[in-house]
Amino acid sequence: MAELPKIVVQRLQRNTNLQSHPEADLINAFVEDVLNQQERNQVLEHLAVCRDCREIVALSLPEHIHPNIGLTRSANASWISWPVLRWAGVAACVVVVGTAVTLHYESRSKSRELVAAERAEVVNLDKKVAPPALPAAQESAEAKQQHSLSTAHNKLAPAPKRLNPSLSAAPIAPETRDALSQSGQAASDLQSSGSLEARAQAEAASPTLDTAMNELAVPGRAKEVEQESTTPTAKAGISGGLPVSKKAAAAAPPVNKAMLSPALRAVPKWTLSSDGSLQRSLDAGKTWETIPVDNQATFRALAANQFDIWVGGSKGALYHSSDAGEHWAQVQPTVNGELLSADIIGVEFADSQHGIVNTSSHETWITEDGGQNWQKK
Amino acid sequence: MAEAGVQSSMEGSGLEFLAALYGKSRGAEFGLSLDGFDHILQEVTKKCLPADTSASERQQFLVSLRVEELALARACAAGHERAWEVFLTRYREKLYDIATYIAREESTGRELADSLYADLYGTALRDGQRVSKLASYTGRGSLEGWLRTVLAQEYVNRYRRQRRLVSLDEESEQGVQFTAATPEPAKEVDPRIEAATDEALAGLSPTDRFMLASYYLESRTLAEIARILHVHESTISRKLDKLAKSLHKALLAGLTRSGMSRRQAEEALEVDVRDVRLNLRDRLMQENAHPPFSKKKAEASAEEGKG
Repeated sequence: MAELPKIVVQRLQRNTNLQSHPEADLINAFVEDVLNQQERNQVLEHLAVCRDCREIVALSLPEHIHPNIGLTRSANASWISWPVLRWAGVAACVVVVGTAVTLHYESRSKSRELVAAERAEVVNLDKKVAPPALPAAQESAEAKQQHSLSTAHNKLAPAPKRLNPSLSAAPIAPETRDALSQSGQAASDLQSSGSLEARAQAEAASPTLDTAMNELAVPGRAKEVEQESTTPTAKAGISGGLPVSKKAAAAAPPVNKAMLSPALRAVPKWTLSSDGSLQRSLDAGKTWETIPVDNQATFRALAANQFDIWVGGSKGALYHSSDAGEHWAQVQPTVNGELLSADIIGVEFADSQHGIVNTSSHETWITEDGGQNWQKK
Repeated sequence: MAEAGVQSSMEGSGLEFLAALYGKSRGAEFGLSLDGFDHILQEVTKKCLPADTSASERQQFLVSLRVEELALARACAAGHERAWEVFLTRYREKLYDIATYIAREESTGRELADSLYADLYGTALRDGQRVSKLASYTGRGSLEGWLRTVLAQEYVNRYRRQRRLVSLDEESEQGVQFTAATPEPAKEVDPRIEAATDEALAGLSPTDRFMLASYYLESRTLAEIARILHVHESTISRKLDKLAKSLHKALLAGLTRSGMSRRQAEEALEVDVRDVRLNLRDRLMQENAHPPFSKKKAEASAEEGKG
């Protein structure tokens, strides 16, 4: 950057006798770029000569993490220049793509070799038990043996594709969920999706709610629980305390703190934005992310206890997460068949069990068992 | 939804517009009536818009306001408990975090935030009425951004007050030099240089002057200046470079117009004016020998902490 003559720097410092400074409202509007051109110029006129207000504007900027790559103030050309970085980026991309393709081909060839080896074993097995010409009386026994061999062959055939991708993208269909729980796959998959110790504790305390949560596949998204046809859905089940599938509960793995993702080991902070969306901070408020819970609801109240969080909003929308927002379950309080449908404006939970929900129609709904049963005042 | 006898800020179908804004603001939830909401909007338009603004422009302006945050802020200023509950839920933690970020120190940040809470709540009374800072929020920008600016103002004001009260002992500890009893004679700046410089600077736009002051006086980074002006960093770099060069040319042109030869003008611009005595008392209002507020305050607080 070219240097300025020192006389220019001296004269820039000159300050007119400023009596008035723009109000915080105007400065904020300037920082957020919502002023019209005329007002913006007026503020800039003042900022050009007022050091204090320039300082205020700089401090008013939201916290921002600057990328390390960028234009520097150094007048001398550094080896970290944009053209060099650009080509370095291209080279890095080529290396990454090449490595990924190579690894992919290697894994495919290995799996092919494994399959070939398995098939070779089966062929050998078939050859060993290949029947000579047998009398008819023995044929039925051999037929049975062939059948058992073909069954064995099927067992040795390449395993069907696992359903892992579906876990991260869509809810698990009931029949698939049953298959997974039978194979024990559910345990490892649920673990890999980041189940938390808090959920395990909450499961012990309120099995109905957390059973429902275990069946939610998409982290951070609220889903209505899909239950087997023999059991009621969590929507109605939670309100009346009706029993839910024990099978899913049995499949839920125990959770320990070591399974926590590093980002979630610290207690997160929560807030609601003015447009009614839920926001979470994992770094003590430095940055915030919007947590999608329900696209239709506008949230106006929340209560958080460590990793346990409740949010309430328009038209009776009430959601609960006991794993810091990774998984959500919708809760629909019902008393004598009457559903909570008014706008929720207040949620208070002293602990994971005892809570109060207030609505815009001056109703108060109370639970003492973590949302399984409710009373209305 | 409109209450009987409401004097609206608009006529006829304006009442529907007002009602729609009122619904959007959730003012009823915060204890704000439609009448009260209309009064707030009138106050805001009177403050922010010229008197000859047309109805359609007024409507556009009102639509651009953050009415929900405005209603919340004004309801808090009026002391509505429900509004305060919502305000604290949304902004309590953020306020402490912002204050800590501004003060660069947790204890000072908490003190700053706590003092602001008192001003926001309205502990002061004027003519028997509580005076809350939230009453000055107009909804043009976000409430969170407004809180950030108010905290920044409070922080800068405090540091300015503290700087005035700094003792001579502390000044010498901080390395400030005091003028000797008999200073050496210094050269006067050629008035033609001053005049040419003032003329060149006067020809710049406010944005250009702001960029120059931020970069060369406060040593702000290109990224910071770019964020303030909502442009790309590379744009700031290009503009500053171009500005510095065009200023140099303008100065040379001004000096040659005033009778200097080109060589004399170039030599004059090379003189180190820090060794030159200027008539500072008449021309300068602020010193530039000390680092910016935030850095110096952080250093001073760190030293106090160690002590």
